[in-house]
Amino acid sequence: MMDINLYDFEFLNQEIPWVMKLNIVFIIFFLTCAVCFFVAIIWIRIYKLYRNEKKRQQKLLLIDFLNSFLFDEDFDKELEIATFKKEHLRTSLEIKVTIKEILHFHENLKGESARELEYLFNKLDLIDFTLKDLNKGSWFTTARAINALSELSIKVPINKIDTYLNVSRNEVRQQSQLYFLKLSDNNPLQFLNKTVIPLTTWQQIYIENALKNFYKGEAPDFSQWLHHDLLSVVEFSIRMIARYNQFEHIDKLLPFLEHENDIIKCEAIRSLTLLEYQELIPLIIPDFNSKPRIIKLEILDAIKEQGSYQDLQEIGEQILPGDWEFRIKYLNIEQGFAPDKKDQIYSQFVLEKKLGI
Amino acid sequence: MKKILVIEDNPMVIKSLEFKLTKDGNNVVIAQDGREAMKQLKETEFDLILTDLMLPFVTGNELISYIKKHTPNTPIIVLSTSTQESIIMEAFNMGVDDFITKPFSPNELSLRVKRLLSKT
Repeated sequence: MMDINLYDFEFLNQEIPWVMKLNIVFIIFFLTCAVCFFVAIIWIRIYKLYRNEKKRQQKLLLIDFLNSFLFDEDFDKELEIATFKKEHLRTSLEIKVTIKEILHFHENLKGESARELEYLFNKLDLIDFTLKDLNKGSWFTTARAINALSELSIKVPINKIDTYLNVSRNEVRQQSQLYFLKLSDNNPLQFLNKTVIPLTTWQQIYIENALKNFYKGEAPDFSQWLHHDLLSVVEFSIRMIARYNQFEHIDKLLPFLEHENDIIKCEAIRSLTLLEYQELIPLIIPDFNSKPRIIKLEILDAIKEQGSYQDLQEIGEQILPGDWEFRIKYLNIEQGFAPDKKDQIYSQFVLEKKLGI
Repeated sequence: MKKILVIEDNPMVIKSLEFKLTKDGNNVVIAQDGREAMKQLKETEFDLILTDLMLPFVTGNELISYIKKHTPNTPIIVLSTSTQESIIMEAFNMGVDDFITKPFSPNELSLRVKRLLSKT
């Protein structure tokens, strides 16, 4: 039997079959890989536990510190801030946890306490850290930094943020839009002038929501973006004119009834209906049958809201008998106009459907 | 020293309320969910109850009904993120004494608590 000492690699030079040699090399290689992998997992686990414990400690410390800072009248603010900065803001992890916790407090508190937190953020020099984060390159760090700045109403030079209005990541674009919206004094949608990437539906909803909830100034004149290069911005502006009851822009909306894009046409019909523009129905009824499906549905909705039974009947003549999508919608609206004929309309509908007309 | 029951599940809000109300000279008892609150209410009599509406296990409305049934004279302040008029109206119809929306101003809350406690 061959005497092999595994600690002495000389055995590889001995006269053993090459298959055995290859096997031994593979065994050593895979064994080393397995050990390294195992050590790495253990190390990552221990590191994570260590980080979580550090986070927990920092969080507990901050809860006490922030509560004392906000509510304790005997708390020597300047001295305690200096001490905290020196002793508990030494590592990147400590700084990140502190920013997160201040934001968490700021989310839940308002009034003087919120202003105090903004002051503290500034005093702890966390703005510098946030600005460094802005330029770190990873999209989530940038988005988080812009979010922190807007949440705490920290104004920084415009060029530091507007470069992110047209980046490829949706989240970063959205945060930069919200930054301008929240911190603006008089023209919250000025960033639209610099926007070259179409607004997503979610962004439009976010902007509308932020306008209602965060912007306290006078509503902007939405007609200034009616001729924007991006159709999504035009669509958004048309919708906002109606939402903010800007009746003075009705004349500017009329050309959009003939726009080449169907979505814009639909939005114009919807907005003019909301604005209760009385001359709308005669403008949209002609050639009903030649119009695309989404426009037809929008016209039926407009008639339901502000048209007459006569307008509806005019369209009814143009709806093809087998076109059930429009037929059902038509009959539903008809029931609203002629409640006394409700049963008659329904039986006619059942009969027509049975006969497959 | 007045005894206040704070029913809230957000740890940050709990700590802030506990800190502020204790600083104002009150004895603050915390319940993190509806069940715990009911248990506290059975064991102790409180001068004021401060509660959230969105709670684990028992909804805020169920809890308010329970409080009104067992200790009808204890003033209740609701502290909630909800700004919907219907929810606020429903809470007042159920007999709550005050409604504060989150984010809240701790100083304003402290004043409202003092006002209600002075009546008890």
